[in-house]
Amino acid sequence: MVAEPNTLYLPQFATVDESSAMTATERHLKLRLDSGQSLGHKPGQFVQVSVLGIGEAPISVSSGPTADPTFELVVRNVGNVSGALHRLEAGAKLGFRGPFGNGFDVEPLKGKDLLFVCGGIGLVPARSLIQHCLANRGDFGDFSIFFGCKTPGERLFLDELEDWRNRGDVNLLETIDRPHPDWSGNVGVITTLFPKINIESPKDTVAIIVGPPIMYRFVIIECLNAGIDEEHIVMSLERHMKCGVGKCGHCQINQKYVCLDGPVFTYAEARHLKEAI
Amino acid sequence: MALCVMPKEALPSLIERLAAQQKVVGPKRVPRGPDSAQYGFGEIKSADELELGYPYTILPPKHWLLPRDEKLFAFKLGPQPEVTAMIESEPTVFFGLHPPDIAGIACLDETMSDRNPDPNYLARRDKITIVGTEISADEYPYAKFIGNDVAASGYDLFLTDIGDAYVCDVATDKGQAVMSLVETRPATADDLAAVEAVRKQTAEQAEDVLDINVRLLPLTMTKAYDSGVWEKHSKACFRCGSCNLVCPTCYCFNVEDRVDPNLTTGARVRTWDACMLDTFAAVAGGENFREEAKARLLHRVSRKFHYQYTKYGHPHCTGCGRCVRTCVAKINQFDAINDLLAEQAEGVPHGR
Repeated sequence: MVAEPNTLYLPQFATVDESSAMTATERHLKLRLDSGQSLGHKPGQFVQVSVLGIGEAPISVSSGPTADPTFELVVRNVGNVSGALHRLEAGAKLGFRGPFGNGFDVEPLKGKDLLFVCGGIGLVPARSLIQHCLANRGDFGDFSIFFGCKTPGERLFLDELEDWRNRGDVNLLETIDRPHPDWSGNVGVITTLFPKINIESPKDTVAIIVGPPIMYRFVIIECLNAGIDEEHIVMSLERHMKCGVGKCGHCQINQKYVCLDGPVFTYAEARHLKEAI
Repeated sequence: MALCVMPKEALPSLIERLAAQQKVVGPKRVPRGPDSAQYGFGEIKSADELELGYPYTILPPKHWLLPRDEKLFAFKLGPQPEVTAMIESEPTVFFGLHPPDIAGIACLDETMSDRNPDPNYLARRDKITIVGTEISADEYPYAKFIGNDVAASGYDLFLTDIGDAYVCDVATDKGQAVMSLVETRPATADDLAAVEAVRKQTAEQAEDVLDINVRLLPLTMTKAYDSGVWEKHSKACFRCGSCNLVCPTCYCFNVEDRVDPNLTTGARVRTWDACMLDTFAAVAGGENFREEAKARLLHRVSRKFHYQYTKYGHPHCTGCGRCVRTCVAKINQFDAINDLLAEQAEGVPHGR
């Protein structure tokens, strides 16, 4: 056993390029790696973000892979680290480790019809894949995105939602849980959107589901009822993490470590993990 | 490598010479009132402090490998923050480990070397020499069931007390380096027979604690998820995490930043954590994936006898019995497993 230099827990640095409020609780950060290198992530991977003196937290990369040294995060203000991230202004330094996790496997999606089912900030990790797939739109068949929020004020990436709605080759359906004075669109939980689309070739459709824990089992039932294969129901799971590298034990689901074996699992895998959903 | 014999009167000079070279950690008396004592691992400066005939220690020696508070790196705050990796390690001899604790280190080695090798642990482990000693079955009722009443591997040197001398099994170069500090003679057939007699006595004293061969436990655990035994046996759990803290194979950790009083420097520190604490699997958004005590007990027992067992091919319980001895609520995982076995044999749920 020879010890490697201790880089496993040592963060690299990035600089905040832009920081802007998205909602009452979400902030969008565009970061630039100080190394000048690209993050080199796959869609659906995450980074362990450090605010030195406060701590570290796992946060999904919300942008698709790029060659330039920037990447984007969306941070909900729910704890010490996320609160500190909300206070960072352009030019501030933060630490990060990663990218970690398996991410979405893009190759098996090629030639398939894609159905994204995103609940609230579930759109954040899903967006990295949506951006990547839209950049290679010709590789995929029908392209549907369901986006459901509790209230209109929780909607994210408003400009991008308009772009997706208007580009002509994406079927974007949004819904809000309960009627709201500022909302004239669909009302109801996200599963109420399923009857509004026609999944023509369920065997050639892949559903990508990202949302709060409660959402999964209901959306999975809809997908199975529509005839989508268990292997084609893909989801990204959230767990507590302290290390991101399979050591701290917090993210374990039965035999799996979400930070190494996930966060992306197919339903075919997750249905055998009793604690997964 | 070699089997040799060291007379007992050579032990003090061996300890003295070892301690002059490197840190020696071994079992010591921890006074507990005028008449009684407990035992714990601590630094040994002279053979007088070393209690080789100790029954067991409160904690395993894991805090020398995974310190309770371990600095991962130092940082300097400011517009241009800096980080400096830290690994604190020094050559150390663990003198007098019992087979379950030797097995515990072997389990930690597997976990910490797997996939992303942990540089801090491995740096420390690399400098450690393990010297083992025999156990008394009375003090380790679960060791034989697991197969750790006798150590087969995992040590550099192993000492068996045969009365007036120690038979020394020198297994590695590190072990040889220790034995080179004293005069020994080669072991004879009589010496080896004496070792055999000691071990036979240990094995005969041990009682069967589980109604199953340990090799079948992973299969038992695959069918355990919906059992009522976890609720029955976790009802009294205080969520104190003591079972985790005293376990030689538990390694889960928390990470936190500690800023010095000057408010400009500090360190990122990892600290022991415990999956039996009720917020261990809670996420920032409020969801708790193991909110109930029964889910936490199932998780802990599954790690010992199912998940890690399946991954590494042997239980990640060493049979040391510390979790049973330490539990304030008298929860005994072996009792829970026996109930589970009875339930599976009868096909009737227990404990609901």
